[in-house]
Amino acid sequence: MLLSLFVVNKAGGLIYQQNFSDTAAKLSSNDYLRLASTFHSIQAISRQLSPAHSRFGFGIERIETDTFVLQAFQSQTGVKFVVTATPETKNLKNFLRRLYELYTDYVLKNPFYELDMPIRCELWEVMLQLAAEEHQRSAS
Amino acid sequence: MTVYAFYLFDRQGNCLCYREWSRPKLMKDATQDQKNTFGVLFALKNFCKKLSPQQPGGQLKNYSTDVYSLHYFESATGLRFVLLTSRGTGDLSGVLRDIYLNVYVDTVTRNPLYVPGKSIQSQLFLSKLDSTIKALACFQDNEERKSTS
Repeated sequence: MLLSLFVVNKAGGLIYQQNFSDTAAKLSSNDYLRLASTFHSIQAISRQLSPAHSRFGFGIERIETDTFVLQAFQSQTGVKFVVTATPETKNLKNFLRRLYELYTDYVLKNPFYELDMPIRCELWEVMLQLAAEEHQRSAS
Repeated sequence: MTVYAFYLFDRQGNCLCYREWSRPKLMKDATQDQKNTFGVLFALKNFCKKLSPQQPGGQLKNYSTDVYSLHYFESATGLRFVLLTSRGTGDLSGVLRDIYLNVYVDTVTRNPLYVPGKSIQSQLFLSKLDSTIKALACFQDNEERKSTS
C-alpha cells in the first residue's frame, strides 16, 4: 500500500508532496520541506561512501525499515521522485517510472510551469491519483 | 555478491572496529570515511523515525544504492553494526544481530580488560567476526574474485 510521494528538484527543494493513505505520517509543511532536503543530502553522501565504482552515481535507491520502505528514482536532470509504502508493496520501481512519464507529460509540457518551482498542475494531480489507484489494484 | 566492509560504532560516534574484505574503490581518508558513515546513519535514522507511519517505528534495516547495500543493526545500548555488501544479498540486518549477540557480547562485553569507547583489539572478536562473515553465502564471490584476478 502506498503511503506518500515526494518530488524533489535538483537543488534539494521539495516541489510536490502527496499522501496516498491515512496511515502515512502527518507532518507540517515545514517538516516535509526539511525531510526532502535531508534526503537530498543523505543521497549525496551515500554516493561518497560507496566501496565500489559506480557508473551513474545516483546514491540511495531504496531504504527498508521495519514499518515502511522508501523507493527513490532520480532522473538524468536531477529531479528525484521518492515514494514510501508499506513493506510488502511490490513494483514501486515501475510506479516511479510511470510517475516520471506523467511528470514529463503533465508538468514539463505545461507552458505555465516554471522549472524547479512547486508543482501546481491540476491534470498532474488527477493522473497521479489514477496511477496510484491502478497500482493498488494491480497489487491486490 | 561480495561483502565489502564492516563498521562498528558506539553511541558517541567512535568507530570501535573497521574490517575490510574487498574495496575496489579506495577511500582517501579512513577516519573521514568513518565519520561520514556515522553521520549518514545518524541522519537517516532520524529521517526514518519521522517518516514512519507507526510510532514508535521506522527502525532502519538496510538501504541500497545502484552498486552497494548497507545493512544496519542498532542494539538497545546504541551500538551500531554496519555491513557494506554488493547488491542482491537480501537483508543482512539479522546477521548483524547475530554478530552482536553471539560475537560481541561474548568477546567484548564480557572481556574485563575492555575499555568502552576504545577500539576493539581482542583477537578473539576479530577472528570470530571473520569466520561469521566468511560463513555467509554471499561471501563466496570474494574468493572467486581473488582467484580470477
